[in-house]
Amino acid sequence: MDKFKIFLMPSVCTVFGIIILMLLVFTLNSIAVFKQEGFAIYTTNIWKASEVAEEEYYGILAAIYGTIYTSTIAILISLPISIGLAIFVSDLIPKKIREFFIIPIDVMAGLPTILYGIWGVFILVPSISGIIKFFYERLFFIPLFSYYNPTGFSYLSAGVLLAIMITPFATSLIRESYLAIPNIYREAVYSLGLTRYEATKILLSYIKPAIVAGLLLAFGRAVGETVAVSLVIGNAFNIHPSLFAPGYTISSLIANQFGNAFAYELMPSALFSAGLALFSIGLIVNFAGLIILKRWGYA
Amino acid sequence: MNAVEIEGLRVRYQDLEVLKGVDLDIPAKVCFAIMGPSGCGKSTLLKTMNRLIELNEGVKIEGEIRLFGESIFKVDVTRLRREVGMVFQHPNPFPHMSIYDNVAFAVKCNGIAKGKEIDRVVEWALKKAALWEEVKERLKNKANQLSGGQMQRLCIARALALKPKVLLMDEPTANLDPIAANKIEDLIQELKKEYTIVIVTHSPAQAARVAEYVAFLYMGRVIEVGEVNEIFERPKNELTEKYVTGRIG
Amino acid sequence: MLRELKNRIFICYLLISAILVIFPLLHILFSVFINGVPVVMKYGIDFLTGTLPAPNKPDGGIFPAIYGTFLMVFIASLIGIPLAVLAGVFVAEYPNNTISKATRSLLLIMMEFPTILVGLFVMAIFVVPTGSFSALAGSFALAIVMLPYVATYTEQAMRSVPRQFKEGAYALGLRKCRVVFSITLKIAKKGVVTGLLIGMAKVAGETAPLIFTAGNAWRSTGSVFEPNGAIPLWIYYLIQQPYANYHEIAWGAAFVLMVFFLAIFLPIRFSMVRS
Repeated sequence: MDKFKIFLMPSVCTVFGIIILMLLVFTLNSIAVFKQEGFAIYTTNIWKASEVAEEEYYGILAAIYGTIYTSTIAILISLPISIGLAIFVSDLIPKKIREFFIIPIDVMAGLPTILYGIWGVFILVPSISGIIKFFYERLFFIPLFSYYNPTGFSYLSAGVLLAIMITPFATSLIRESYLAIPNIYREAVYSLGLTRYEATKILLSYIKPAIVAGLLLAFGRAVGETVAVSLVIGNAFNIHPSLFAPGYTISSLIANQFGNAFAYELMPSALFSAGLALFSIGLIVNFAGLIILKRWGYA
Repeated sequence: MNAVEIEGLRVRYQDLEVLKGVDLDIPAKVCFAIMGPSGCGKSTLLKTMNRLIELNEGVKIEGEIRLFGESIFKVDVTRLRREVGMVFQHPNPFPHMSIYDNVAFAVKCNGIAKGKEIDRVVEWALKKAALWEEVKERLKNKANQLSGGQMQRLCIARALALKPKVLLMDEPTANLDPIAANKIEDLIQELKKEYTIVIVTHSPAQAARVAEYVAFLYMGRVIEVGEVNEIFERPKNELTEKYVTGRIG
Repeated sequence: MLRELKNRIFICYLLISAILVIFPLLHILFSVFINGVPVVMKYGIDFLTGTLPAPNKPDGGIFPAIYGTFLMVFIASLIGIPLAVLAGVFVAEYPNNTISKATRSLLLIMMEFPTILVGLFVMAIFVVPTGSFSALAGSFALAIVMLPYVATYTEQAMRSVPRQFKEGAYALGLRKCRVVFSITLKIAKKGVVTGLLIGMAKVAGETAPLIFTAGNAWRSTGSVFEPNGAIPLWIYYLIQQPYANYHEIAWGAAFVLMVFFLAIFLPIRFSMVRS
């Protein structure tokens, strides 16, 4: 091993060490609540904080439910639009002015999330509350619209805000792989005399793995997003089928509850175990996304 | 004493054997050309002489190379590379440095000169490389503003400044226009009076113009080696004859 | 013509998606601008130099938050940048090494990792033992968030340096350390600097990793061992207060944050277009 390698080793080990130490910290701190409750921490919806340690009981199912619910809303809204925009920018915009469409998208992908948060609270949520009223009054018998919530702080608000936040990222990933389709395929497809719709359909099937990877990575972002979501979701322990109900996500639960957690015996451990769940979801989703991209020849 | 002696040299990249047992003696203060079609292993042979080949991962070297009697595998690699200068196929002066710094940088790093002395070494090297007159007014300019031929001569100056014993040239004119290429060839004629030059070329004509000795390399083996007149006028091997008359290449 | 009709519908779909993305995005930028500028104008220069007023009292400003953001980004850079650059150099210089391959994947995963978890982690290993939130803890968290960006950009910039320059340097008898620091990194300078700036712009806007590390403080003692505010953190807490003037200040702070972000990000992005 040469000297230079030895000189660089500490920094590489630090990068590694941070992740391993993180996993360790989350696991060790979760042990207390696992000992007390077992796996029930993830499968029950109870949040009982108490001065008396024996009476404490925590279950974060509502937060897990909310995380999946809001992220799914976000993906369902974002994916078709992301694909549409990616094709729009790649095929309908002349190369020369393409950058003027891409730059705002990149700006939005990097914009501090708190700016989405403030917009969400003061502009999105009030408009959503109007939508809620409209749908609830007419369609309350459908479970999806069955919750009356005049405030607007809801799964729907969080889902829509997340959709806006992840779309720039998702569309960039899809656009890059779409533009990277080798020209020979592109020419071959167009030479068959197909309409734009038919040709694009074939090209999209060619980049299907990249779209799946984009979906996973975007889902990962939605799951991990904290402040913007915690500002608009309403922060309630709730498992409700309706889009209009307030709820929690794992990350907003942590952001909201950790401030006073140390007043209780078991709550920090419960929140670390919530963090461990988020850690695992983040790791699995991102890892899967990266493997798909790598197999396909990216990243 | 010979400048370079190569004995039973075999070089492998992973599973691919590029040099399959090469023996060569290169006398001092001559220009020695190694010619052959592309892929014959001539660049590999050259890069083995200053152990630059070791930058590639998975390279295996067997055999022996001696520089003025001393095994190159036993000396410190940085000292070896200082004594064996190299000029590349693609002119590669450091684009972020000035003309002056391109020559002075390695002089400083290798502790060859200090302070005012560096200026003298730089001037000397640039004169040796026939570049001084063209750049003396703009030594502080970035090196990437030069023309291709000037860049290549700057690379020669950069190598000469370290006072090497041997100068390796890997197709030094391949990426230059004919006029710039001519200047480099003239320069080689000058330099071989003082230095041992080993030049790799795929052009038999260039070998004939600049070299005293020629080795013909084909598929990782030396097919024929000898004085330039013999190789071109009375080749002993049929392959050599086909190559110098342009029937394989 | 069914075929032609489908094609028409498809093109409409593309246009609609473009509008559906562009509209909210511009609306966000526009809202921050339209709500923030009047606040900054009304408060005047005091907005940048003053401290938070009492609820429903006029005047005041966000100086402690600006100070906190600059302080923590600065310390985070001091810690994170050398670490990240060296890690990036390792991955670029020894690409076939097993550790290298693992590190490259790890860095990509870290980039997408929920940043709130980084905050919790630093809280557990630093805030709890020291017994107090502090600007230093916040800086550690930001350094970790910054790390994968800087390292990945460094690696990519170094790998894009043509091989011939490295070979030329080695052929002059320079040692690996010299070649990397004086030749490769210098030639790759633009890419590396882009990475540094993107990393800094990113962490300057981060909220989640600071909540449980920097704590938050409306007044700053200036010490790195005390809890400290930051612009995003202030916005997060001000929004949750019931007072109208705090909401106003939140909008003003959002505008300031947006200006900072755009001032770093846009020049980098435009310089990428040119090259």
